[in-house]
Amino acid sequence: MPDSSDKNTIGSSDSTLQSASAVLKSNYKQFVQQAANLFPKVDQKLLMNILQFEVAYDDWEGSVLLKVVYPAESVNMDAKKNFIYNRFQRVPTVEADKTLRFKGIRIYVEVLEKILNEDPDIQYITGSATLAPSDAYST
Amino acid sequence: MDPNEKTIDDWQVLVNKPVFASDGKEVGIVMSIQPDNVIVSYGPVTPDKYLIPKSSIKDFTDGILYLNDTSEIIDKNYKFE
Repeated sequence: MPDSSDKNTIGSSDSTLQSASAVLKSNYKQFVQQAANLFPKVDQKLLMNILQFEVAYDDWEGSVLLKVVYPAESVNMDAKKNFIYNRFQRVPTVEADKTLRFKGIRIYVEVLEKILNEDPDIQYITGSATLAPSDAYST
Repeated sequence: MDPNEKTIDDWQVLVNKPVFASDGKEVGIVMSIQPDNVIVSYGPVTPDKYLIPKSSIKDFTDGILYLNDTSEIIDKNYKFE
């Protein structure tokens, strides 16, 4: 028969576990909220994927299919294509008259921050990050 | 409805809810919430995606999001993919 001190240990262990879960969830919520506040124009799923790859894999090449959305009116898309080409040496395709789509490498969180600062016309950035480096140069 | 009075937590309720234009046509399903916009997608394989400003939202009742704009305006101005 276990003594009462064992029960206390198990009980405190359970409560510690619950507390750890609560702390983790609370911290995660705060983190997600902070990410949304700091990068309001970036698709949060893309942002989290880039962050994860950057942090987990030191040698990640930053291979990202990027879609940069501009307002439909009052934006010269040719100028924006030039902006992307000068920045990433990739010629983007235009989707739905307002989205520039291209696949680039070395696209890290800092790069997203820079292009958002350089081009306030950007309305939204979405896309997908991939670990596969061989995919980086395809279109 | 004044969207600016809502918090992010309130807006998260809209995710996965259907969206309808003012002419009654379905625009899609809310995918995610941005600070100024709502991302809506429509279609199973290669879905059309819309970046709809929160200011275009007319009402949210019975789990359905209603917009001020017609489907034609939405398609022309807000479709980005």
